[in-house]
Amino acid sequence: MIGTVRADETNERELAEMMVGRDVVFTVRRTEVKGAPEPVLKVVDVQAVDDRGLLALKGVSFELRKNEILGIAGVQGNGQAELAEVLTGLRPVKKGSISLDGLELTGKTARDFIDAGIAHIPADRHLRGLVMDFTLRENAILGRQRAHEFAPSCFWQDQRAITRYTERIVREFGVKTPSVHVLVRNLSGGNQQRLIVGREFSKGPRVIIAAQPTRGLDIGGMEYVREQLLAMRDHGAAVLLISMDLDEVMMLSDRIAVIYEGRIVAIKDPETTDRRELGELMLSGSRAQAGGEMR
Amino acid sequence: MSPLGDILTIQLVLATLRLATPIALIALGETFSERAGIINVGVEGTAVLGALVTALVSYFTGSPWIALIAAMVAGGLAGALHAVWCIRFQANHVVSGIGINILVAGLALFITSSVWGWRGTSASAPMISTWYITTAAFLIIFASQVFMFRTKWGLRLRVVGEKPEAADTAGIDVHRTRYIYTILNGVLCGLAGAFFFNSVGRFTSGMVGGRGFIGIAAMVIGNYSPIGGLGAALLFGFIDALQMRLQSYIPSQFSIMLPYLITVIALAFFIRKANVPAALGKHYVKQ
Amino acid sequence: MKRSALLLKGSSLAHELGITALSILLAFGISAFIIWAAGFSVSAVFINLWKGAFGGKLALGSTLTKSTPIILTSLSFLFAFRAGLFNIGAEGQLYIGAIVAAVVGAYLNLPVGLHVFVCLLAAGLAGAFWGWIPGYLRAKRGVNEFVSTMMLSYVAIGFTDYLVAPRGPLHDAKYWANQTARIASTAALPRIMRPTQVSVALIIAVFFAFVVWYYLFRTPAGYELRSVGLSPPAAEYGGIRIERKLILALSIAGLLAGLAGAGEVLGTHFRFIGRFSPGYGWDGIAGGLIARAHPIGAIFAALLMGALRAGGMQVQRSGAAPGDIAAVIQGLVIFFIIAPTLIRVLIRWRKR
Repeated sequence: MIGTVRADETNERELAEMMVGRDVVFTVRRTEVKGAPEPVLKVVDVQAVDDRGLLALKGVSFELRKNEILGIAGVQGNGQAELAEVLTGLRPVKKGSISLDGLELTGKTARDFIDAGIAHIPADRHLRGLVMDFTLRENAILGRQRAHEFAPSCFWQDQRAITRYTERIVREFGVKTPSVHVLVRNLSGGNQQRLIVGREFSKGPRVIIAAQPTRGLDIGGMEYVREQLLAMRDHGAAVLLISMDLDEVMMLSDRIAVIYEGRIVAIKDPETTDRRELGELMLSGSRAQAGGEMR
Repeated sequence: MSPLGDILTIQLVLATLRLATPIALIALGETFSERAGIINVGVEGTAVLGALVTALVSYFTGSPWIALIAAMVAGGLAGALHAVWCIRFQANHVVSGIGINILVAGLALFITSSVWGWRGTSASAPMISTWYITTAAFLIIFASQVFMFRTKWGLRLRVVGEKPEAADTAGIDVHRTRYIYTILNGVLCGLAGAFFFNSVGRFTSGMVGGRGFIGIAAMVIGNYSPIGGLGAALLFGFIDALQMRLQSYIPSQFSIMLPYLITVIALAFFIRKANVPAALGKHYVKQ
Repeated sequence: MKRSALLLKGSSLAHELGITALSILLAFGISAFIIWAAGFSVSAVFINLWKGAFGGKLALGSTLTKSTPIILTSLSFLFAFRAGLFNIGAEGQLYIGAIVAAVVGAYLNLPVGLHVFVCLLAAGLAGAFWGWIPGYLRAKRGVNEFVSTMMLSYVAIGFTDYLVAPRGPLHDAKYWANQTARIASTAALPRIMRPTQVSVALIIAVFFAFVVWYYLFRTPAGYELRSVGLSPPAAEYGGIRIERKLILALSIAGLLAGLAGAGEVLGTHFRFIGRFSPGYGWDGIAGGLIARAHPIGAIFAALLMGALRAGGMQVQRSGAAPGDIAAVIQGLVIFFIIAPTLIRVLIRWRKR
């Protein structure tokens, strides 16, 4: 389907065009995927505490399917950050279970989540996503530093393979940098994000946990990351999109889950819901006016 | 008399109070600077400097009271140096503290050799009773407890270490606050150094012997509060006093190890991370 | 651009070397002022400093002998530093390694070659154990390794001193001094620059500098260690078990310092002497910092420390000034080297 631009967005669009000097795709092309939905990641009744030890996830359940983007809509601080960490093994699960294609991941380490094929675009790229004082090369293999293609044995890192791989990411994902040997600290925020996205997508992931993937990017970068997310979805990845930007969630998602106070209060079809309904759910968690529950 | 009765006497209690004094002073100083966000592991060297300056000034002026003031001034200068390095030159706090320790260790040997001709030892010089310092220390610590948690200046200090951005927004000068309390830390360490000199009446280069680091441990165990630090310092003072008594029963090399071993064990069992200031050790760059 | 804290934070090699050289120069300049202010002859001090460090074979031998353990203790410090830890307990780990080397060297009967190897291995493992304790306490109990490594140093120095004291179990009854029996000749490291005390330990130390470099910069494990040091949250994100790395880093740091102690026993003194180290462990902190935590740089930093020690002794002998001026210079060098923006600020002032 091809979405439409609403009248009140026209000015914004024109402004954006002027800024980037070309036609901006604010609407995105989503190809329909044939066949029955195939669940990949199963999350059952997951509970987890936040950094202060308070219960932040109070029993979250959903399944993430192949060839879909499941958007998580919600007001910041309703458990999104903890959800992303739980699904990448960075935060322990207190109760409930997580499994990927029947492979039990509950209680496993971040290493196991990576090896199972879960990619992660973290919300805080400076803190989690990159080692700021590592070069592009070093950051390009973060998470896969022990992969056979980069480390044929535990006594040997294949420097050339790492350089080639990094150069490929830089090329394919349009990271602007003088060389792959500079520290990522010296890159602009947008290029840092492109590097993270490039690294995570180049792993050939089955599941992508994308937390705030476009935050802080310029319009060109934002558009680019969104296109890439859709491309990954089309290639069969299951994408969980956690974003505070409701427009982004509505634009990209095949299904929208609303999170409120640590619970998924509704899962909606973007074609039959609207901003108002989602907004009400996000603010009150109330199902009163919610119709068309989707499974 | 049984050995136990011989060890546990009123003398032991007094020795505990006395030996806890420098540790408590250093713990208090470190509490101030770390509450403001500046780690200073140079407290060891600063105390050595304080002891050295006390010896020098007392030796040349003959006045142990002037020497006491001089030690605090010297300590304050060392604190100021550390603050400049950490704030102005953005040195790593721990590394800068190590720098102070190494520099003072070198200076102590050089100055004692130059002035008295003995490597690492001064001549004896006029001294005062350490009870003056012990009494002052207890008063300062109780006053600091009130200051830190019951006054607006105390609140400002804690905000600077916890949320420097918020402090800045509220009109508190983050850097100035950090300078003040790091210098205060140095002054208190200088006083602790004076204590070391006055307990024997001469300077020796090993006289602080890790008490600065034990002071940091006391601050951690005391959970970043003046009274808590005092409590932990009293524990270490007691161990120190005990090991001196024990020297008649077990080899001295063994008993000398005791305070250090107890410090490690105490850290392992009493550790609480609740009150570590959030911006500790981080450079604050004004936006 | 905000450039903060740690020395590791990147910039070009030439830039780093330039700042290091300027820091050393500045330190010597200020030392000259101190020497002058203390009423000694600046030129006499510096001439003797040079003579004692590099003036002839004996002087060079003295410098190299003193540099040998400092290379290893510098590596010890920087290895932990690369994982974001401060190992200031190399002195204690050195003593533990030394006493074990002395015991294995004196009481075990093994063929030539194997004996030395077993001594080194045992000493390295003992040092590693002494580093493992603070590593474990840091990882599992959150104990600040800065304080604990320091405290354990005092414990190690006191404990080994007790062992070799007249009533201690390892005391050599033939002498009054606090020392063990002499090690077997099969356990000795050969001297390589007679008549000086330079031994194979120097080659071992340099070899380990390259091993540490290779480990840190050319293996996946080293990569993981460095990422823990630079950004624990990012390392965790990359599937790295931080606790394990912390324990490993301090254990290896202990191993390197333990080898330094073994080198002293097997190559220099041929026995363990109570409190034999003039502070090689502490020098390692200085060496690691001056090297800006680079393993190859540690060789040169240790050479500087060793030269200062050897030169300082000559200054003392000549009567030009107390030899401890060398320790002051060392302290000043560190002080200037650790402030990343200091030299830049100074250069800007001059241009103004």
